[in-house]
Amino acid sequence: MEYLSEERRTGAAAWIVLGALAAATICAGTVYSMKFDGRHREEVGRELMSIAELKTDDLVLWRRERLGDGYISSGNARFAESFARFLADRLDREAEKSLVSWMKLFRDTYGYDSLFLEGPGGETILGYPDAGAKDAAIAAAVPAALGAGAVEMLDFYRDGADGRVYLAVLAPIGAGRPIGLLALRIDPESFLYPFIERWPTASRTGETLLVRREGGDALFLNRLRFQTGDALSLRIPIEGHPELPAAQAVSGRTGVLEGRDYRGVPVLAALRKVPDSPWSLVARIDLSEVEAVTGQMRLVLGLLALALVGCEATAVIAMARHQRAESYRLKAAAAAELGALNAELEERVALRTAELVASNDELEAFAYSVAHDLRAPLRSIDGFSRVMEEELGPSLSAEGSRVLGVIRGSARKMDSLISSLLDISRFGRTRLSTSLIDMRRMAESAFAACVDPATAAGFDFRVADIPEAEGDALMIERVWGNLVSNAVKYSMPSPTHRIEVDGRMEGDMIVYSVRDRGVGFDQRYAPKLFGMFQRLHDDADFEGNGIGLAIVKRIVQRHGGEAWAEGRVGEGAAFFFSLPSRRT
Amino acid sequence: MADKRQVDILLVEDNPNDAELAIRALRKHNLVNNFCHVTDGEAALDFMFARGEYSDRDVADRPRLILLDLKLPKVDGFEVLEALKADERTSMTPVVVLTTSQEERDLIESYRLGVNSYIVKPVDFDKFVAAVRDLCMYWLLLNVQP
Repeated sequence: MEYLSEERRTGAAAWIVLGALAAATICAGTVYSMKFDGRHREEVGRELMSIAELKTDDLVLWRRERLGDGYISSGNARFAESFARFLADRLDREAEKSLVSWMKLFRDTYGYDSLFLEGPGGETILGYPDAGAKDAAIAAAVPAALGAGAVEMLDFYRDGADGRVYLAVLAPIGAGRPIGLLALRIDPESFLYPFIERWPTASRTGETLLVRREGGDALFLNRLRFQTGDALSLRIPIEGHPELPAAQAVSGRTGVLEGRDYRGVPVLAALRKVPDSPWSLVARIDLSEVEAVTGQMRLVLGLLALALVGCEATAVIAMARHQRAESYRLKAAAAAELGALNAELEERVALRTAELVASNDELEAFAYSVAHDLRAPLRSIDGFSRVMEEELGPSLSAEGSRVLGVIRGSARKMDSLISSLLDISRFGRTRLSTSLIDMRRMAESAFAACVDPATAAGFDFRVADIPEAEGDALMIERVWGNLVSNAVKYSMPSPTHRIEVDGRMEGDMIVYSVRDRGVGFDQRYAPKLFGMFQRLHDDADFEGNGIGLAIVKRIVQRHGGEAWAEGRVGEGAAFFFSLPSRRT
Repeated sequence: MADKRQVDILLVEDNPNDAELAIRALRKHNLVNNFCHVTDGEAALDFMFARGEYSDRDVADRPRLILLDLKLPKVDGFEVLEALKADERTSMTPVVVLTTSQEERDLIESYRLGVNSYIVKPVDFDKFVAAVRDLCMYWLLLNVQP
């Protein structure tokens, strides 16, 4: 019952965690999306403003150039003279020819629509390319222009004759007192409108508008992208349309603002005045397009958040499931203690046990047969070699006895290998019979067992006051035996015959060490030392079958510890093994 | 086979090489005058209970020591041991298991069945000879039997 309630608690906790994670994800997503919204709008505003600035600057330049064209005409003395002559005598062919050739040159060079020579009274003297053409708007503007005496621009107007929209540069002719005026008529379709309409980025709704104030109205000077009808045909009263960017612009407002454009659609607009002109420039884009991007972003964010929540859910559910599995496991263990395993588990355990028993039996049978069947021939090899030695006795040559010696030595070595292999297999599978071990005494007797008294006298063997340990005494004895005899063996060629045994608590383990000042080894090979049949030294230099340390490792691992080594060539080696400290 | 009556040692060993080495070891120290070598457990029991091939023997003429290998054809060493120790005519005869096996379960099983000694045959012949010498010395000369 306890476990059940714990499971429920775990489940509830999982849901709470999941809820919290999902909420956090959604909050983070929302905050980010809102921030992104604002940032994106600002960015688009800046973009619009830079478009407006670029266009405004170009428009100013364009105007300056046009007025410059006017000044060139205005200051041309020869042209003024021809004009004066022609005014005086309309039949002066030479004067006419001179005027026409100049006008042709001017028109061809600068791309004007038409040029008109106006008399002081507003009568059109000469047109080009159509000599007889007239322009009422220009004619009407002549007196004022002559009065001002400076080159000026006649802003967008609609010509009554052909119904088209034009601009004109009015250049008074004649130094001091103008005798007339040259009008350079500009067709905005040739450059101005396309230039204004051009939008530098791909946009569904981006548009630049040129507007001027006319009375109480904002007059749209160029063609509109979203409204059929010609340029100059839309005028909207400033009064009553505060939300209209064009109205704001002609009222002198500049900067970025949100509003509704001539269609009534919400837009983001950048307003700018074109200096030295009646024009204002509006660069605008529909808010819906701005928001489409943030909408997309929001969609992506939403999906991302969804995916994240999904991942979190999976993780939390997996964790909960894992925890539940864990608690099931605990439950099963508890039930086993109570002798009440459920049927399925029992079956599985039985199956596993059977498998284990089978493989263990197999292993034992193998080991048994190795022990018996491999040993017997070895015994014969050794025994009969000895018999041969005895039988042949003196008649055996020195080489003969040496060879027999080699045979016997090999047989004995193989015997020791088999023993060690059997030991390893035995240490792996026999049950530990643990007791409290006086490790200090065990280390000392291991030393005593592996050296003869004469050698012992030449050794400085020190055992510190090391902690006791709990373990299988027979096995731990093998560990000390192997480590101490190794230390002795590899100390022999070295001048320093000193072995130090130490042991100390490290966390919940006791780490014992056997340190010598012998020949040592290359630290790079340290992990190899504990492998089976791994030897770092020649058989000829040091006896041994290469299994001792493998046995050490196996035994220590059986006890829940670990074995490792440190060494340097020529400086000695230290072997360590750890055992779990006794629980009190 | 040696004299069936005057047998000091019954050697039960199926491996002829091992048997030969054991016999050489026995002879080496002149500790044994007569011994009988049988190669399987059934022959060992026949000998002890004077059956079959050995029906002309007297059961009362017991060898002074039995050297028994565990791995034997037909009837294995444990069965021989069990049969001998179960029968009061033969239960007094000391049985020394002389085997290759160092398996603990073999050792335990042997003692459970009442073995008197358990010797693992060393591979080193010199040690083997020494072991045979020691055990014969002990069981034939030093040990006092009822």
